[in-house]
Amino acid sequence: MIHMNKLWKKFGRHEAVRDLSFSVPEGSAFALIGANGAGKTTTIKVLMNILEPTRGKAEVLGIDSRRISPRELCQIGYVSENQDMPEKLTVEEFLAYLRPFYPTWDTELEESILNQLRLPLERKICDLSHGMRMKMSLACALPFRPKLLVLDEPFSGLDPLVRDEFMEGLLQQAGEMTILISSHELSEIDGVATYVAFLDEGRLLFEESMSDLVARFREVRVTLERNGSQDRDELVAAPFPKCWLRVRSVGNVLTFVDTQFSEGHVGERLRALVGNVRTVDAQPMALRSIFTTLARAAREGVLP
Amino acid sequence: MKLATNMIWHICRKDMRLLWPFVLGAAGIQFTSAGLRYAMDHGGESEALLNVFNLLQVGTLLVSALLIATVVHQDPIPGVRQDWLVRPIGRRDLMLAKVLFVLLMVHGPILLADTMQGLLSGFPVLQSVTAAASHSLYLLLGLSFPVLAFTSMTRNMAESVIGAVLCSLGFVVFQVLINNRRQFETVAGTGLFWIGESTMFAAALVGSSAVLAIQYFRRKTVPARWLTAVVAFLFLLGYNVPWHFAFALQQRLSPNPGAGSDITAKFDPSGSKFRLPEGMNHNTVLVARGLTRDEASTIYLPIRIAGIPESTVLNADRAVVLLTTKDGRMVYQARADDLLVRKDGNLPPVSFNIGLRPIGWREIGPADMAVPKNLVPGSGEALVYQGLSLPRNLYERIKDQPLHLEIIYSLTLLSSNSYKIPALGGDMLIPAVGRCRTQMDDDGDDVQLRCIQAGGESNCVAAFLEHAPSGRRNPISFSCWPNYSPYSAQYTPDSLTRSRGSLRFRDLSGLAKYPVDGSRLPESRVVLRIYQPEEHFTRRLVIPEIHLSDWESLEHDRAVASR
Repeated sequence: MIHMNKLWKKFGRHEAVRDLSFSVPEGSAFALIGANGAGKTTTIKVLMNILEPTRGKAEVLGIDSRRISPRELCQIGYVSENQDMPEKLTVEEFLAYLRPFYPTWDTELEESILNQLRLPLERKICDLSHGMRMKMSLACALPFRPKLLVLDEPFSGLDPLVRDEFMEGLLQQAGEMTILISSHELSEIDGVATYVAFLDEGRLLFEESMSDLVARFREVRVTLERNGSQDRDELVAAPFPKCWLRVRSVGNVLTFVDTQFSEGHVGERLRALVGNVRTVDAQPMALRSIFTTLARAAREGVLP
Repeated sequence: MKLATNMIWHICRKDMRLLWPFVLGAAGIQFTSAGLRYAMDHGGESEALLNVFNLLQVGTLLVSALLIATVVHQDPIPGVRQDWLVRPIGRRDLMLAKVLFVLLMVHGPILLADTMQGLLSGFPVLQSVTAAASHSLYLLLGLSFPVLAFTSMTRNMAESVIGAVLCSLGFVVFQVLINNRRQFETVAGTGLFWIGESTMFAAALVGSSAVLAIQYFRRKTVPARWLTAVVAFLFLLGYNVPWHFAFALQQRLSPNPGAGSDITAKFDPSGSKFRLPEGMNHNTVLVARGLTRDEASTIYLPIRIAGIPESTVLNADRAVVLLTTKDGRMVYQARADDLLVRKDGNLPPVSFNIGLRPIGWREIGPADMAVPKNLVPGSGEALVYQGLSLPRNLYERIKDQPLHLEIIYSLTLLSSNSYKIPALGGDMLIPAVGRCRTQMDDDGDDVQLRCIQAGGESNCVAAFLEHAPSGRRNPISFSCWPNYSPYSAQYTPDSLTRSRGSLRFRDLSGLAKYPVDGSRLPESRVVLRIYQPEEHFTRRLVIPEIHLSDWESLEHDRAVASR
């Protein structure tokens, strides 16, 4: 559905996106994660042919993003927190304006979405709150049953109630469509995304399915048999594998995040590195914890 | 195709829905202005009305430009946040929708108001519509299209206004630089200005099209801005199109080639020194717009012009003088006075002008000058004086040196057609000047002549009062601002061209008496001579050796003394 190949985007000397390559499988809900300024919005704007790549290539629906025409845009829904819309039109007028551009526009679906999102049709766009605007933006992106739905920071600034309404509206219509969603807030994509790509300062740190990601990250707590200060020094200086992050030792307790966790493998490696191990406790991590661990590791330059 | 047309109309309708109050306001200003002009044309014209009208004129153009900018900014091109970028809206459709809006909502009211004015002024439908369409096309090329392209490179009105101010400043600086260096080489201020104007419009059309294409199809604002700078430069070069190129083109367009083939111009050293007519002096004769020239370094060369046909005007569109020393070194090259020679009917004397049109000039008529004895009446010969004003320092340095002098004349022969209209209450449709009316002025000393034309523009007009039974005539009132343009157009106020004149028949002080006075007016008529170009040609006048000081005017000593 989407394929990025060695994509670069520069603004003057600033490299907003660097050597970005990833693919979004058809039917997936692909989350583009990263802190503010990581290059998520720039990547999406290149995909939508709003910006031209400096180098490399992005393909959407099998077409080079630079050649996206109205024919492709008929199949792409786009929702962004930073979308300038005709402020003086009412919601109803704006929908009426959009309808003729989409041959597959389903007015019944439009009606059902409007009912679900409870939008004030007669109100001018400039008079809508931020949450209402986002809901309206979604209401404009779904009635033509897009093959691809692009959501750029859709939850930014939304209160929980509106966010839930938005998500409900989205998930009910999702069906077979492919969703690309960017966010800096992991909790927002938890339960929605099936794939995730993590961007940091324009670079892709990793891209994989959500299930694999959650499966390979564990917060490990190890209790050792010995407890001398000399032993502790040895412990800290031990050559831990690079896939162990945030290694800490307090007394005879060693904690770290294993980014390549596999059952049984940790114990063996620990014994080889630090000798007798009393207990090993490996807990699954929340997405937010995985995200912060990776972000810190990226900043410290110790990312595996 | 039908779908594309539907989409263009659909986008245009959206803009109309959003901007209808603005459209109504702009149309309101347009119609108010047209109504006011109509009232002034057909009723009284007070200073207050004229001030309001002038304000509305500026307002019409300004509001049109603002409306165009606003419609473009409904879907701006620069930027990354516009909703239309992610919609299946064809870029060609979007661009054409904006053009359609400009045509319908900006030019529609202008066209309608112009046509109504033409019809109400008594012109036929076809002439009214043609003149209105011509005016609208002129505005489209000279204002709307460039504004459309310019604003497509800006995000909002503030950017547009700042950009426009910067461009205007650049234009002024460029003009000042060019004018200081090459004023005598360009068509500015002459009848050939239309060639420069057409070049400018061609540059504007091509440039605007290219900018619109780059913006709407490629969204490359930075290259578009660079292109605009290049186009603006070409536009300004068009304004300063070289004289020789322009006149060569004008010559090819002569309506009656060969009409001026008998005309010759020769230096006549037997002519006496030039003397300003009684009552004029060097301080007052050429003063206009706050500018004067130094008569103490001005010479007047007697030129014998032969072969001038009856009732014609010979206009020197440009006279360039070249002065070289005996060893071939050029010491001076500049414009000489704008010489204009007018032969009135088959009467022997002719009138000519001294001075420069943009600065100020003065007609020297038969009453002012003694007719040279060796001229044969009716032969088409005339002794006129070619004024040549030099910088004082240069003049003092070279005035007593033997010099080679050459004047290259770019000339136009204009022939006339005469029309007669009753001196009081006359109302007549005259080709080239349109519908003309005559009436007595409020003071009771002038017959006022007012003409309105839908479209065309006249070049030179002579008018005088003639008593029909006796054939008595009052002095001629002559006005000549050549414009050889094959099309008629102006930015403001509308598609109608207005001309007016006053013909005096009574001196309120009682000092002068006129052959056609108030008592004869009911039996008198206004005779109008409308001059139109026949041929454009060049003549070269060479004086192998001359001492400039020999041709100082008789007022020269007074001018020197008064320094």
